[in-house]
Amino acid sequence: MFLYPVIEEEVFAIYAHLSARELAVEVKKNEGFREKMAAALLQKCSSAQKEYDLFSSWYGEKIAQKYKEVISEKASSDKKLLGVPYVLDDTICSLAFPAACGSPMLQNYRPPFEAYAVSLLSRAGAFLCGKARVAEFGLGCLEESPLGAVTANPRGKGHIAGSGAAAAVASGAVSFALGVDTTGELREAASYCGIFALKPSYGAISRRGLIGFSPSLEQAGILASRSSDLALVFQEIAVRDPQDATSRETFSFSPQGDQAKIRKIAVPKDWSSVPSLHEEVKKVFADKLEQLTAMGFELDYISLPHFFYAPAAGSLLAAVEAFSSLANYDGVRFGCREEGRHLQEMYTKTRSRGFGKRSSNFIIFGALVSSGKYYDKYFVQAQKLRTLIKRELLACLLEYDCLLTPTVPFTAPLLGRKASDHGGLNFVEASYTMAANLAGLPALSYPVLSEGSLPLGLQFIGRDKGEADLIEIASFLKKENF
Amino acid sequence: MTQLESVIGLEVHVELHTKTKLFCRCRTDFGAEPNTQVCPVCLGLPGGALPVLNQKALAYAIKASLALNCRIAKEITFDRKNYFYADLPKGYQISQFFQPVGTKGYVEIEVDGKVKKIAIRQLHLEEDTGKLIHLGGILSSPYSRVDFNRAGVPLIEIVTEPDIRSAEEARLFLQKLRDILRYIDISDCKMQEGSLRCDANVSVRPAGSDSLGNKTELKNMNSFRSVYQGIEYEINRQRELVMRGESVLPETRHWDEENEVTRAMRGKLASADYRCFPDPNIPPLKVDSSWVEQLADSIPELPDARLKRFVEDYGLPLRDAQLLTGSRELAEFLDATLAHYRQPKAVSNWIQGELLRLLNLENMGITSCKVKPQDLGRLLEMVDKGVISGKMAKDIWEEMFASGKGPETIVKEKGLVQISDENILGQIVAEVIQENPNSVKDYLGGKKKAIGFLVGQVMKKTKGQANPQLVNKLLREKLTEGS
Ligand SMILES: [Zn+2]
Repeated sequence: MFLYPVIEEEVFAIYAHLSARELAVEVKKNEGFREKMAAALLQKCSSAQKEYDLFSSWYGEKIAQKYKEVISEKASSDKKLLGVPYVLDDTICSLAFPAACGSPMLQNYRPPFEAYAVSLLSRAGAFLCGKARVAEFGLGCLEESPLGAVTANPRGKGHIAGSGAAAAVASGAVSFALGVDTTGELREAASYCGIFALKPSYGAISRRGLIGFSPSLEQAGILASRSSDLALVFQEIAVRDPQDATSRETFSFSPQGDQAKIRKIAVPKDWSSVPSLHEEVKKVFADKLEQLTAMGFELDYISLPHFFYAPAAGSLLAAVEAFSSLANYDGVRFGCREEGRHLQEMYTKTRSRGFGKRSSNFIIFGALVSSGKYYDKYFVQAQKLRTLIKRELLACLLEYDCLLTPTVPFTAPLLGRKASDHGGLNFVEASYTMAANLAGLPALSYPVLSEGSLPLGLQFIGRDKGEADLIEIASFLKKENF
Repeated sequence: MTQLESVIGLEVHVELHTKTKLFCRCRTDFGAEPNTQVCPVCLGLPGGALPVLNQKALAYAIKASLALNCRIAKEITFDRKNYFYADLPKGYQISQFFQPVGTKGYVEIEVDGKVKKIAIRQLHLEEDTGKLIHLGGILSSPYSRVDFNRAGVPLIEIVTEPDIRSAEEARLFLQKLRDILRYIDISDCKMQEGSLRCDANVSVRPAGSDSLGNKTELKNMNSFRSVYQGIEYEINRQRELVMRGESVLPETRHWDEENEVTRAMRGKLASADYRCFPDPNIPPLKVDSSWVEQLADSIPELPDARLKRFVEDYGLPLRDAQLLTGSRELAEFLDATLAHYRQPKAVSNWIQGELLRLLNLENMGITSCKVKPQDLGRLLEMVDKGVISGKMAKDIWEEMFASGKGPETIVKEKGLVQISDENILGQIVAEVIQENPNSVKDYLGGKKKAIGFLVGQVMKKTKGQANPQLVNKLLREKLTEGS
């Protein structure tokens, strides 16, 4: 029988105060530190798992041993993320763990290859602790997966975390997490848990190995407690992948510490008329706008007539892409299979059992709006809207350095509520986030933490390839105790 | 009752003989063990299906478009055609719907001595599906097996306008298409092996009408012959229906080769909703015009142009020219030989006679023939100059064909040079005359044919190397001298 080692509080907190860069340096130069780090990781991950149920699969009690093994192999060479612990959304493939993706369809599925970004992180010396829970196929943050688990929020007892990865970072168990942002999921969970999230420009990080459902919207992104960690990780993984046709040339990225280049900030003038906007979020955001003005930023309230159609257009396009992209789950080659008397029956039974209700509805919705009768009326219309939203944002960002909104209209919902309580497939939670996915622009969620209330996030949408600007302003604001 | 005319459009799928698949680097070798040429991309595994276009396949599609007189798109897109089937790993096929490689081309065929243009609506790239295998036949097998080796192999689909009016025109079009595609060397175009597949949309209507009747989609025609037979059958079937006042159902029908009939496939209507939309994994691709020009330059002279040149420049009979241009390699062999020896008819005869005879005998293709065209030219030249006889040439040719050696080498090795020396031959002729008094008497007595026997005797003594014309001349001289 395995017994948790007794660990003094001092050891327990051994890496909480270290940035990823500092941690890597310690691990490299100090063998004794490695030992303590391994023990602390075990303790921290175990207790976080027990308290928040964030892992879908992880090393469990073997993690300390595994950590020492992996690090001793890599310690000799110069690695920027040596020994830095992280987790992956379950929808990102790694060879070490299964990828159930929160779906009965892929329960026990082991991918035979790993995501390009995971290879790059491993090359940089980062240590993968495990896979973190997601809603089925990573669609949204609100619904518990049909596999039954839902992760609790480390910064709000009785509330959801939004994703296992966000809980892992917020609890301090890991330094960062790599996740997928399709309609705003990464930023949303970061907002609920009071951490940073960076959804990069479309194509900055390879999508190879992302088990997604909407290729044109999805993008791998980073969760971290420090903006400098976002920068360090982004630098390592934003590399062109010749095996992903949508991957773009590696672009120069060099954030200059905590001096913000961003001065002119646009705010959608209708930001407060989102119907699901909670009073508390409204109040905090209004306060923050005043604060920014006081700090000398130039704020303008501008008209963005198409911006708030983004959830409608985005969810429709995502559904059509999901209907097609999830068609490979047919029981023929992998995953769940139900026997049938003929092919049609096998398909029907397999897909009925394998997909949860929300995914099924989403797929059916996608099939409907792309069918002959509705193709022009809905699908083509949504594509046109996407173009308009993109143009609108690009025009706005010619004049302004960034666009600022709340990240989510509300704080972390209570555990046990259903997505339908928030409007089902209406994506009200993506009211502010979806536009960046439609336009392929980078967006950063900045955590606002205050004593006695739930965390929430501010979203900065930047120019194409403007990740450095976003990270700089985040670092600046953090330094100013914003 | 007005006359009915048939309206036919073809959809032809051609497998490109690239080394690797259309969107991944898996090999395309024919006949490999099932499911050995697969990867996460072509198996459509979760998170693995990121397609990266094979540039060679695109180059082939552009060459085909050029050879079929198509306009080449400046920008192409790849689109998803969504449907479920066990041989389709991703649940969609990546094809081209909105911006195909080529549009608005044509192929010329000759119908009753007149040239007819069959318009090509579009030519696009797409991926092939896997293959279902049923042990002991589709009905007796309790389950299906799937081989995904073929899944993702590049195809071009060529869609014609409904310009074809008979089964014969369809066959002529298909043969011309095959010849052209073989000339540009992008596919084997073997119907039996499935590297060329043809579906036909067939309908009938009152002659001269502009409207189209209900069409049926005809599948499973696996040879040029069955394309002809299937369409012919289907036209007649539809005619009879219309004559009886019944209507043609729009459906998919299979050609049943064994029973020579078309049969409706159960529950398969000709129209399906594929919900095509651009594949978000593949950004639109600009086609570089200088690359297109480069590809255009690499296209060889096509069959029609070559036929014309063979008739007009070489003065070959149409029949010869047709036979020789039927194969690019054969035609090129002729061209190459004529570059060294400019006697078109003689070379043409030799290729059709001696070369094809030996190729057929050995069951070989021209590409594996060892003889170099310039060697054939020199062989024929040696006959003209009297260095060797026609009979010797045929023996030397067989040796050339077997070993690939040049004619001079063989002549030297075997000591086969023709004896044309009058002194040497004179002596032998004298000997033969002396040894065959009876034949001499016959000849002098008026039996002119007896000279043939005497020539034969000289040839025998010289092991066939004597120049027959010279022997003839010397014999006549000697015999008349003596009388
Ligand atoms: Zn492959």
